[in-house]
Amino acid sequence: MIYFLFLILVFSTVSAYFPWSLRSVRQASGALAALSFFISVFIAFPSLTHPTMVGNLWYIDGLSGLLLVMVSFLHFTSTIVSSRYITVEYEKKMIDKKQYQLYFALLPLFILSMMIVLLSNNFGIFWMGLESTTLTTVFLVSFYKKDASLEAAWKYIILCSIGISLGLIGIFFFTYGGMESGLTASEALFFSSLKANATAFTPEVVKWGFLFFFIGIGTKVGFVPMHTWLPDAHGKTPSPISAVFSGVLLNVAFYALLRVKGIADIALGNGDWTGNFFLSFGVLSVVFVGIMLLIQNHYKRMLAFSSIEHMGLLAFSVGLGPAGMIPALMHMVGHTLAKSLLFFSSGEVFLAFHSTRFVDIKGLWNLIPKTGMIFLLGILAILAVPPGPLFASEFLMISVALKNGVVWQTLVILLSLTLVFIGMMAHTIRLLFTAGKGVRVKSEKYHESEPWNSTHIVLIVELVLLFAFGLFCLTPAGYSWFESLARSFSFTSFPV
Amino acid sequence: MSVILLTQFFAGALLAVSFFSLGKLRLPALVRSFAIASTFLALMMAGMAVLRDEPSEYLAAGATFLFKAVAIPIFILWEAKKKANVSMQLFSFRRTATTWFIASFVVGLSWFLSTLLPLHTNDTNVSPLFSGLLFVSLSLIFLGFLMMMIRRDLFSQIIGLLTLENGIAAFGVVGVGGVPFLIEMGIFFIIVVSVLSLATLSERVQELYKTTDTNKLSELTD
Repeated sequence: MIYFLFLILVFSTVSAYFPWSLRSVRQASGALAALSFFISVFIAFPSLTHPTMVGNLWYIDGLSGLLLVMVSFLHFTSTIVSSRYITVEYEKKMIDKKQYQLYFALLPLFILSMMIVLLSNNFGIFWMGLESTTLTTVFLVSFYKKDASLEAAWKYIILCSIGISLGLIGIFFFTYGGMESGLTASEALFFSSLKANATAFTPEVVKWGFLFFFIGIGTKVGFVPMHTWLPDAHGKTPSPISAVFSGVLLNVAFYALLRVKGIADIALGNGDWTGNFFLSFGVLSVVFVGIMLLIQNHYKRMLAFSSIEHMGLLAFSVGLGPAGMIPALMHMVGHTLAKSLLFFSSGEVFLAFHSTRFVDIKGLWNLIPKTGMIFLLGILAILAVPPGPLFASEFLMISVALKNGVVWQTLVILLSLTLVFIGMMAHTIRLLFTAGKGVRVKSEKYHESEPWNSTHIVLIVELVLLFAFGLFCLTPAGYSWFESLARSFSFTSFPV
Repeated sequence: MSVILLTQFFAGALLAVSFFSLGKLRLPALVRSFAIASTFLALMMAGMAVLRDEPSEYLAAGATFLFKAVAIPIFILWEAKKKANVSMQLFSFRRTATTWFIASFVVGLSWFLSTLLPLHTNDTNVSPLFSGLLFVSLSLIFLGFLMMMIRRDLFSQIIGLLTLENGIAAFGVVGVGGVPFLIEMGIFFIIVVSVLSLATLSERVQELYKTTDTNKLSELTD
């Protein structure tokens, strides 16, 4: 089934260049995205209770299964949103036919790269998948071929390529460790073999390997100070792609760190040494973003900085030890839903006003009230206002942190989150409620009131899922489910 | 001449050529230096293949020569020459002498780091070379970083990234040895696609700005 899933995505890529109409291109993309979503659920569902090996090359457990479903869900929703977004841009002659086809060709290829990372049991294929996520999206970042887009794409490919290359050095260290423990060079490239032999690794080798891997792949996650590519890339690419970037790509890179952390923790006997990296970079990222969010001028960059903050919170939570994995997993899912919702709705704002600058947006609440309301609810969710899931995860994170004696870092995080709240709410109020004559671009399809469209349907579905998930996280059943998922992924002893 | 001595010579030549390439301020000279350095890398890998008696390493050496010493340099020069009005002059933040001075410190730092790493080999054929080759691979990685930081044009950044990749390839050969051939080819494929993407992007930047100076790419700052 895994190969069938990959085949669907490859076919979706190729179908963008079939000699048929652009309407057929987007319909085929949508249908194949739906099919890949259902197959992903079919593959992932059994793994939620027990991990599965598929041959030697592929492995799926609870976490990778959950992320696989999230990636394919976002593929499906972003394809629906893209169908409208890219079509409107094409009709307004902002893009040409070649760009239209390129977009629908690169999106499934990007999704395929992420799925390879999630499902691979082989370190080499895993690395190639990670690098492919950069290469398949660089032309989506430079999609509009303007000066700022090119700059963003250049920074993106250079910094992420350097990062992933450093990750390869880390992989070589782990492979060396595996060979020292008695594995052959081929065997030492498999996660399953490394995990089984990790207790025999030299701790110093593991530490150097983890250091290189963390700094390298941490660049892809967007940890401060390796984050400089992220606001530019997420801000300049088409909004549906920004949603996929922030919603799942960062999670996939974070998953890569967790995978390697697991092996390192077994080799070192506990998670304290690796946990310190996560704690430090997590706190640093949240603090930095807290300051930066006070001075933003573009709403997409604001959302991109918010993604850095949430990756920082994930890292902080993982750094707290095995108990921190529970809120981290909740946070991952909640962030995916909320951030994708925000970027999809920001796409509607861009289509209406043709600008990402706050100063250019006036009278939004009157002109596109449906989008405005959804955007506001999304912002409240991302700021961890209950009943959003991020409230449950952040509350749990703080509880675990204080219980583990991580006091001053927690206070710094809380102060930074206060700054984040002030910054984002101020900007959101400015975006939504600045009075003035609307400069919304006129089109014969716009009526006096904002019409419902396919993007709104996606947004409503995501909103319902978001708040339903939020309520689920607050229940004992929700906590138990995430606890069992975290236990299955914890490589060291889990607190009772 | 023994294979060990030859391999050491190739490694030394690889480092020397990469070091002096930091001072090349014309694109054809820089690309030529990179091609020569990659040739020495391929020869070093072939030497290691002989010492380890690993057939797959011969293929990796051949692929390194084909892609990094031949195909990629030809492609970069072809991409650059497509634009008739683009200067072959490259830009740097520092003068050549200063660059080499900094590079000397970087190489010294690499030596120091190589003594700290807990890596060694049990293969008696390779053990006389091990620490030296480890030092060379780390030097290449840091020299690649230095080139990307100290040079102000798009092509130097591409060559810097490729120098970094050469260092990582050397590190892999020294530290790990026989990576499965398919994985090795996959990594080459990724590098080739990266270069193609970078070259295409640089062409678009040249179209827009009529220069390869990266100072033009400074609109997005906080």
